[in-house]
Amino acid sequence: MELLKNKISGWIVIIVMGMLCGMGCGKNSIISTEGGGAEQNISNADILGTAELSLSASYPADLQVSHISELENIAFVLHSSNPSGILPVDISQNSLQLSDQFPVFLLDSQNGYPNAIQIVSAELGYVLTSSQLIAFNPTTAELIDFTPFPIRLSISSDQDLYYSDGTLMDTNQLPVSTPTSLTVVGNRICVGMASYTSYAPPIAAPGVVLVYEMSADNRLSFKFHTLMSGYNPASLTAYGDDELLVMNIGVIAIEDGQARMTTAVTLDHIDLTSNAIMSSTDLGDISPYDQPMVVDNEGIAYFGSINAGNIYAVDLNELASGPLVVSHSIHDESDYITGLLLSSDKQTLIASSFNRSRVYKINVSDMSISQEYLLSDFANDATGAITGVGRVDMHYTENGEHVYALTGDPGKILRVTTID
Amino acid sequence: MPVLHIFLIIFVSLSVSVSSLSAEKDDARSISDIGSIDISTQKNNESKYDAASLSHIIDVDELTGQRSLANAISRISGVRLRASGGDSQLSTVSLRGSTSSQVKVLLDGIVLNSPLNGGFDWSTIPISLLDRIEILPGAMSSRFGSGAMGGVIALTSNAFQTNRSATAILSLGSFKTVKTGISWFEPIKTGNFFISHHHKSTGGNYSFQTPDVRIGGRPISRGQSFTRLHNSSVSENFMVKMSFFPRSHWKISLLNDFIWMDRENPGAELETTQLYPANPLAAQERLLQNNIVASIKRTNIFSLPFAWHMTGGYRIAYNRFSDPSPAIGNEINSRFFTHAVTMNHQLSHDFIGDYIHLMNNARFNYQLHMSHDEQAFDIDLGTQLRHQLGVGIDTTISHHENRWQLIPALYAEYADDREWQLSAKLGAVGHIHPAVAIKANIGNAYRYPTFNELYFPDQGSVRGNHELSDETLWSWDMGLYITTKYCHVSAAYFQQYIDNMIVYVPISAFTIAPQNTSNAHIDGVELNARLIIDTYAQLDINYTRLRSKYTLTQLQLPGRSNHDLYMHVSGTVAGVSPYIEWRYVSAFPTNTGNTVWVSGYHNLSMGLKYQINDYIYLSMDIADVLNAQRYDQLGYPLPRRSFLVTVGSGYTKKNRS
Repeated sequence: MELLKNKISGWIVIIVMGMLCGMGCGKNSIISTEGGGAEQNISNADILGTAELSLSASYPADLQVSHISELENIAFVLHSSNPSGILPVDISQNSLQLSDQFPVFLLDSQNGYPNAIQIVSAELGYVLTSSQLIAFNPTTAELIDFTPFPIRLSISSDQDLYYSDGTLMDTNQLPVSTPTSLTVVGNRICVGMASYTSYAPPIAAPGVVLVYEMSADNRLSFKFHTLMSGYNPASLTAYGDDELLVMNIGVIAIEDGQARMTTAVTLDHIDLTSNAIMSSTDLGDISPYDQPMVVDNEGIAYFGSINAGNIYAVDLNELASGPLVVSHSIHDESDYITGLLLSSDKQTLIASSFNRSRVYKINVSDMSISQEYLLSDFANDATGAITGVGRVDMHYTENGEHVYALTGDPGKILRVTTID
Repeated sequence: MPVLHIFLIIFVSLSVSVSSLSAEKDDARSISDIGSIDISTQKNNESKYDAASLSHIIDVDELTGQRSLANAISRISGVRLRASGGDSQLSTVSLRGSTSSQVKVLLDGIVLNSPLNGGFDWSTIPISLLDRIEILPGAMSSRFGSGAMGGVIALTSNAFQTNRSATAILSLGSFKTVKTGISWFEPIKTGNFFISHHHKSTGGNYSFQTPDVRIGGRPISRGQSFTRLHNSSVSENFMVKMSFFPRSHWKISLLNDFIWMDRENPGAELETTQLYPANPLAAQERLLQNNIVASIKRTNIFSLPFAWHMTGGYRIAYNRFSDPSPAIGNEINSRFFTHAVTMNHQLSHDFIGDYIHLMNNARFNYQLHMSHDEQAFDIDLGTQLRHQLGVGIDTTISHHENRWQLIPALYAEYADDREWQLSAKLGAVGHIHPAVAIKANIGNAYRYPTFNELYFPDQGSVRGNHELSDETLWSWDMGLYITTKYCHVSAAYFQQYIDNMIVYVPISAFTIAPQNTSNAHIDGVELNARLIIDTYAQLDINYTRLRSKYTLTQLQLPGRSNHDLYMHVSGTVAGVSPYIEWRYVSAFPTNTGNTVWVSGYHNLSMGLKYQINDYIYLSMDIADVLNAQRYDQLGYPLPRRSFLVTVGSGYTKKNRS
């Protein structure tokens, strides 16, 4: 009898437990940028700029402020994780907020880690990830097409090719890895591939630029590739309607937190219609960043440094004869200039600094700093942590030019300043 | 090995079933209850290390059947478990908002913290190897030296029993989890002998949902379902312990604990949700650890009230980590050895005067920490060596009726690669009523940086920082204890001021490195209450209110919740002992800027034990009954609802009446 009572009690408890289990799902945790209550203290926009929007993950990958009329007042943020995708941010108001008008384009779990974005029309934009090139519609946030990158390319070169450590390549199969840059030239989508075979120590095969086109039936198709004269083609700049400037910034070793180029820096001038390298220039002992150059009306191209507070200038009019690079130091500390913009009157450069968590306004005439903005949550970087300013872009309004910047940790988009 | 265990459990079950026919039903030490914890700091159960500490004592006998040691201790107020995945993945513990390396973990007096990273992986020790757990929160460097900033968790291995006993246990559960354990305790003429083996294996893979995400108040993505892959593990633990009593006033103990673990590492969440399968999940970790502890106690020296206690230990750990396709960088194939030699001496003297009772202790501690890798592998830490010498004194000054106690302690420590550190603490205890005690402490603590923090070679993405200063802290706390027949209640308030806290932060666009960051201030309230409703039921309520902020920015320390409430109801009805436990953890930020928050969550678990007879029980545990998706302090997804069914058997030889 006692045993029976025990068994009955046991079954009753089991049934109750089963019912509770079957009650359905509990409330899942969510991730929010709204904060966790009254003690949250996230806004210091008053000292940073005129507005900011916190993102749900650190280190957003890229930023593009639209200059397309149908996408007016929208800044597209390429969000790297949690979730990865493209966030349309409405910049028309005093405060920054997600757009009501345009939906978020979320990347699929198979799409890889985001790297760069370029929007070319209201109906077409491209995203570069660690493994794919993706075409999407920024207005409807619909996927148009995607294509994975090849792992190897067959190359036919009449010259011996060498890995960056000097080893002769004994194969015509070029290892392709590490997409680094994206630029659209006309209807051609150009992707720079660094072709690293090892990261520690850093060793790479010669860089390659893959060229794709969007067909009439909205399919991405691979057209051709161009073998570069150097390693790590991380800076692609559209030049005219059919030409591309490729800066092979060299194989990078990371030492003591800073990048060091282990190979020469070269600038290749490519005619995309003929797939021919028109000129190739050794730029000497510099350490260029991995972003497009900005070019003024005189044909002077500016680009930043990946390991110093330097802005470089090169005269593109002298491409054929081998231009000299002029280096301007804006400060003496180690740095990574993560973005460079040229104002509409071409008189002001906007430079974003990762290591110093700042945005600089620089007079082009004498390359002096006219103003700087600290975008760190920690004044004077007292924690030792670097907030880091990433990509910047500019928006033109009737009131002047507004600069937008991404910060790394915490991840934010900020309206930094206004150029009246 | 599990097959052997299944055989043994059947054998032991049959044996004890037969013997139970003639056994006395009221023998108390058969199989202990599950689902309840004895949390008490009452006068007769206070810390053996520091009577003034606002400590919690856990009697592990009452925890048999619990899933893990880390889960069991994380129910105490002020203790937070930091899990990184499934049951066998790395799990660490935080005390009063500390980091895991600020919690010193001891096994029979020997330090278990890794000299490489300062932490202790709680998944490596089966709970059933332990007899007692003492949690001593707050600054404890004045007794334990470097590392005891958030507090100390002192584990005591299975203790002496008077009778022969044996246990066998088999658990089967979700994620293909299999746990087995056998142990044998044998008294011998001048001592006793204990041997055990525990096995744990799990397939590990579990489904999870990515979180719903809101930016600026607007939902931007709904959770998606994934399977957290590459989570399997297998581990074995062998423990042998011997105690001898060669002469009166002498006790000698020897312990050897061998741990082997082979586990897959699923990596960060994005490796599953964004990089897989293009980037395969292939990280693997192999651990070999062996702890040897020797303890000699001599009391009544020269027939005087002197006692001498020597503890010596040697701990060797081998860690091999390989990942042929990490998310960043080259193939990883690293092998590290760490060695720790410990020699502690304590000389105690008891003085009982007319009005005053003095218990004086003088301590001398020596520790040698060494780590080395194999030069042929990628990460070349080289050989690192640290000698630590510490001397300390403490006194417990008691009123002759024991109504009050004052406990000053002082400790000086020297490490040959660091500066001298001095730590002091003053504790006080007042028994204002037979059922009511108040305690208070003020003191400081420190932590030497670990080998990795100081010397990890520049790998590009991460490196050490040999310019780090020691972490330092001073704190005070006070608490009230009420102990009656029907309730045990404790309440504590504490404040901690931390300088030079070491945190891995980005120092450039390419590299993270440890830095001494802004000072931090942590204060909080800890409440523990046990209401004994009847002999058949009891209610435990533990609550922690934590405020942890960087002094400079007043921003909350990441991964720390403000509120943590735990309730546990258990009882026994007609041989069935069910329990229900509920936990609420409030929202916490995942970054130092406090811009990203994980929302608070509720967690409901339950279980029951059915005592078939005096020797065999059957239990079932259901974790996270409501199947809610939770995330750890870094935002990594944790397993949801899971089941564990256990059959256990135990035998204890009866004394002849």
